[in-house]
Amino acid sequence: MNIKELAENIGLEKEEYLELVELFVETGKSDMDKLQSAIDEKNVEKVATASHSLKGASGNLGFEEIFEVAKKINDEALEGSLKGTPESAQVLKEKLNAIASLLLPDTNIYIK
Amino acid sequence: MEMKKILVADNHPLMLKYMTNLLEKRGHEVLTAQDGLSALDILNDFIPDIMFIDLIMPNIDGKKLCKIVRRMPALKHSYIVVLSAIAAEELEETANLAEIEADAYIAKGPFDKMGKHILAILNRSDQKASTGHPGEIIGLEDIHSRQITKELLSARRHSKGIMENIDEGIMEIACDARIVYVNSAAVSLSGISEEKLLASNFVNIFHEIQRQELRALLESNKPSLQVFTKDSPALLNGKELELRILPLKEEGRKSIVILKDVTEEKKRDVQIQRALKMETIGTLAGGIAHEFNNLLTGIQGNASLMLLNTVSADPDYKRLKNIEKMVQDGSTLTSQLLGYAREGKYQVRSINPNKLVENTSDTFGRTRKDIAVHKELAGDLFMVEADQGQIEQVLLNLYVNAADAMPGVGSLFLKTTNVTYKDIGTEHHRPKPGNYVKLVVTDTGNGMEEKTRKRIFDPFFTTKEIGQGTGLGLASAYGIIKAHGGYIDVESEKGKGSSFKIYLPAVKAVVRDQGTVIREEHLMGHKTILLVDDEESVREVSQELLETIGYNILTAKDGKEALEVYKKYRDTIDLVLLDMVMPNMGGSKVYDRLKEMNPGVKVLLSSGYSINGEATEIVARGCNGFIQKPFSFKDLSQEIKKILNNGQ
Ligand SMILES: Nc1ncnc2c1ncn2[C@@H]1O[C@H](COP(=O)(O)OP(=O)(O)OP(=O)(O)O)[C@@H](O)[C@H]1O
Ligand SMILES: [Mg+2]
Repeated sequence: MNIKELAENIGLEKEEYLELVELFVETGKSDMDKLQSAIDEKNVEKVATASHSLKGASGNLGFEEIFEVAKKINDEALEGSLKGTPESAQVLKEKLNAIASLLLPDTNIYIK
Repeated sequence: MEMKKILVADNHPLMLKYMTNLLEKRGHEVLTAQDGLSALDILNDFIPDIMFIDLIMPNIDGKKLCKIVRRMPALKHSYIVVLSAIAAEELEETANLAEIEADAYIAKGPFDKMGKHILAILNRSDQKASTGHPGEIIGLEDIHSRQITKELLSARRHSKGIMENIDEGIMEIACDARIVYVNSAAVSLSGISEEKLLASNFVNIFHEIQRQELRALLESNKPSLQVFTKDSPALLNGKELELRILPLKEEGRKSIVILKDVTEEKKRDVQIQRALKMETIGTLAGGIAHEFNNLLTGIQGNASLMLLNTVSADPDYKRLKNIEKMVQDGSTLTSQLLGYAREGKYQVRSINPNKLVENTSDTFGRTRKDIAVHKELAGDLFMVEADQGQIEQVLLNLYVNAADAMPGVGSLFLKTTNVTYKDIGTEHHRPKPGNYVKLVVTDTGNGMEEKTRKRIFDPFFTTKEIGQGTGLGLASAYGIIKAHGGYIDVESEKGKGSSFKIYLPAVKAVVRDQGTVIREEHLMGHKTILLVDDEESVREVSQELLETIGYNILTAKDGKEALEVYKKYRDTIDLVLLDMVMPNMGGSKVYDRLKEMNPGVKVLLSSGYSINGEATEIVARGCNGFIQKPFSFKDLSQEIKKILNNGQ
């Protein structure tokens, strides 16, 4: 599927779509940082906030897989659990990186 | 479609960007805000036709933002659209629908679907006047499948529940000192509604004189500050508050403020302080009274001796009588001090308090005919265990004060009732459970100001001219009532009279024999008495007194000597007159040793302190009597005779 089709899927022009994806990856990167440090600190509330942000944005742009993983983390955190979170966070990171390399090959906003 | 002014408040940049693109492309004017507080800033001079508000935002969330906006008259016609995934989730549960004051809701989801709903709303907002009532939910059917469990919601409600139910007020403050969150305790402590508190300046809710300090405090941003403590509390809404300010490290320069109401606690502290002060002064007063009574005993004794050898025609006779009279006055003074020192519980017996009121009011009524005395005495009054003389003294003190407060004319109301401890005013911290007799003395005098009222039980506090009042009347009343396990309280207002209330613990009625009356004459004896006292003057004068009336006297200057003398002459000694307070070996120990030597020993205790715990205990152990210094000639001889006559 090419970029134009992806953009049209959610009713946007290609340029605008790319602009929003870039914003998504940027904020996603900072959300991932927050998520990572929240996991290290075992701070459930912070995990919930960061995953909520990722969930909302991925839902907006129709990134279903990211949405589902972020939602899983968020739901767990709201219940006070961080059991599956480190693994899920790893999956999230990979998917975000995949989107970045696929859709924004010219940028270098990757998540380490 | 005409051009609209639009405000979008959402914390996600992606959402803001998308909305801006979408709406600007169609010719609308769009402003954006990343949190509730900046939205309010924009609303200061931007009146939007439509607002899109995200529910979950930092610094005042969407729900509260709606509430505030709804109360801003300038925004009466603005159309509010709530925009949130959470909105949809919660709205599915419908529980919070009515709480959010918006005109419409759009569930967040993929941009294509959301976009359609947003544009549809734009058209609709034209026709529909803003009502302030919850509108419909749009777009639920398009939302990603979502399994919201009950637990999820209840988990959130749990922590919310804690915040809403703790006693401490909690406020969250943004870096510019504006309030972005308050719990309900904070609302009730401040007496300001949530809508008003949110977005207003934290510093300004406090008393003017404290704002400067608070401002500096917030700006310093040091970790965990507690500058407004119980000793120097912050003033808010007539309350005294302890403030703890906790800067949040992570979120910019926000702070959490914990507010604790210490008004009640401080009141209690004052009560404790007061009790301690009374205690300290009491000890001091007792000590002075003790020394003084020893001196008075010497003076009294010498005067009595001289009187024995003086005929009434002698010019010195009157002077000596005067000395005796003044010693009596001095002794009244010290007995008031001792009363205050709470060492004055002596002859305790069950009495009907009505009788005390009758006795005293009769005496008083005869001396102050200008005052009308009204009595309202309960018929079935409980008995109390009390020292009649002392309680009468308390009542007389109250009457005299009342009379002083009503120069010329006035009424005195005396009332007795049965009450329980629950009826005792709150000023007394936890009265002991049980029944009490309440004695109320009310006057129609000029009353007291708050400032005076607070100090009247302090010893030496008086508003009377020098020479008119000693300021010991109420202090001793306080001590005496306290020593009886009771409470004394006052209610008064300037110009409106005063009402003193005394509560004495009730006992089951047991009427005891009042004791035999002894004829008022010097009672001569022919027995031997061992006189033990560390004060030489007391020893000398007592010896002379007792010898005058026919007793043989042996003396000892301390406990050790007393035991030696007793050992030698135990068969001749009929009675030991024993001072309580002596250096090295006190009266109590001496008494025990004497008792060991001779279980039948007769001992009369004497002390410059009135009977206190220790003396009472010795009497309880079998000691034959107690006499308080300064003793008059008559008292001493009566007391001795009584003991010597007993059991013979
Ligand atoms: N019934 C009352 N009405 C108005 N003020 C009173 C009343 N009773 C006491 N006071 C105030 O309390 C003060 C202290 O009373 P207290 O009986 O302890 O001492 P005093 O009457 O001044 O002196 P003393 O009783 O030793 O002669 C008084 O000086 C007076 O100001
Ligand atoms: Mg007085």
